[in-house]
Amino acid sequence: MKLELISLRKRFAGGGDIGPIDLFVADGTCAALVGPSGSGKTTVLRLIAGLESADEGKVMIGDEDVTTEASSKRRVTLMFQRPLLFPHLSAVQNVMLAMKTKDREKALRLLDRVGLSRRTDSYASELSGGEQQRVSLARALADEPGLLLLDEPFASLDLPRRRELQILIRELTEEEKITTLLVTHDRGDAMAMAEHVYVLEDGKVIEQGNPVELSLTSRFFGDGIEIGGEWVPLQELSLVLRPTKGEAERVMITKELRERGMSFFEVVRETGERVILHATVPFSKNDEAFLERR
Amino acid sequence: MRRRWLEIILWLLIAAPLIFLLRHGLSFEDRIVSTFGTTLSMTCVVIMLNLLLAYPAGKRIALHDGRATHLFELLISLPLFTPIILISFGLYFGFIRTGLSDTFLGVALVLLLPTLPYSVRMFANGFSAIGEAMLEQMVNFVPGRVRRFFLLTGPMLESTIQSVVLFVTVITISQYALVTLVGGGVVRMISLEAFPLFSDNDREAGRAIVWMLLLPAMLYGIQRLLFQGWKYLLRRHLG
Repeated sequence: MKLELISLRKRFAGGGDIGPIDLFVADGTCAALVGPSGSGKTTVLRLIAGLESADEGKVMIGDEDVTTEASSKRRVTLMFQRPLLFPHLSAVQNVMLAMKTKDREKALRLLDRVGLSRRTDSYASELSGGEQQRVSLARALADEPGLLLLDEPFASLDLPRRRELQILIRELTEEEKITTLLVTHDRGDAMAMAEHVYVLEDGKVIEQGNPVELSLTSRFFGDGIEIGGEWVPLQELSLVLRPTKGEAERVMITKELRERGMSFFEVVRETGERVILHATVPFSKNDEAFLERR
Repeated sequence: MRRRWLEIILWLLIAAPLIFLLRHGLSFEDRIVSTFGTTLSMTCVVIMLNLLLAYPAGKRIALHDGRATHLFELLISLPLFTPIILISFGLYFGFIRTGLSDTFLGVALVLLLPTLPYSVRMFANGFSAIGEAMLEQMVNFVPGRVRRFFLLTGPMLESTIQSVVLFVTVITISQYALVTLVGGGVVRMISLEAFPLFSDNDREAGRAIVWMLLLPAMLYGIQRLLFQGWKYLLRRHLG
């Protein structure tokens, strides 16, 4: 089921308006909505899910205009950062709850598919964070939704669990041909999941495109850093190494350098600004290393 | 095994004085039975009114922010800051005009004053603990408010509802001033029967009514049984 937002707009009394937003996710594909905190990603998701009402524009799911439909009437399920399992229900009951026709066998099959066939009768408090998130995924897919909305579902997981869940979601949504929209501030999650990326800033889509292309050009999504208030893509930068003895060496930041063992630059995007979190360089500890524009 | 024994000992410690009490204090005089009936029905009505009013009010306070909500919260909490007896006198005059004084309904309404602000606060805390995201998840999965309450919100608010029931019961049966003022001696509740025990040290009067103090435990037990039944139905519904 395709998803289309046409000039969607939401106004807030205290500012921070959203839109107008135009967005399209083709049937059975996955798109990502990325942007810094406070850019309005989650509000867009809530507008699509029907948890907030739009002031203008349309939300089309399939060929149907669902802008004024109640949340439970849209064929949409949400998966949040926290698994939000209902604590008084077991794993299988949580999955069955999401089905219009209660089918225990199907719920058990889904739990088996997410690797939890032995934990079907466990309650949320008895499951680990990763297991809870997998039950949450099985529950989200239980009623064969037309559209799956993921609101930073990997944020609370460690790296191995994160990769595991990403693969699982991709497999299951591809098998069932479920259209997926992922909201995240993490570029890695978007790269791993999406075929198309929309970059949101101050409630508006400022960039969109293929994630690989965007990683080379986008200020938010791409590799680069802020130098003197100006954003510089990493391919325009050199790494200057100044050893304690001998002459300084200028090293281009290339794929080869990564392969030599330099871990790539991580950035935090809380404010939208780019900050170097760490850069591990395989040279002597006494060497001085800094970035300079070529 | 040791835990089981501890539980048995605990129950024996609770039951022993009650058995003694029932053996020596149980009285089936018409007046006592009638007072018990009035107290029981009054407590049930006040509990129901508290649940019906505090549930939406607590939800509103927990999930909405803004001036209107803060004003609403302040109004709801007003009886906590103003002496209840003052408000009751005001209400009493209003009740005389509307014919509600000396009636069961009048007493039930006045008993909301010392109970409702706390019940609203308890529900607000209960809804805050569940959280907005979880409540939205419920809306996403289960259509219909009643159905949602039966399957999700109710069981998740079990401890809040238990606290409200117990609290309202204890406050309702221990109110003397409000029941005397608005009930005018016509609506006879346990606190009125207990008065001679405290004013004249009338032990005979006390012996006759003291077993009614089992009411909170009784209602708590009934409410626990109802929740067990609720969970049983829920399990059957979800297989």
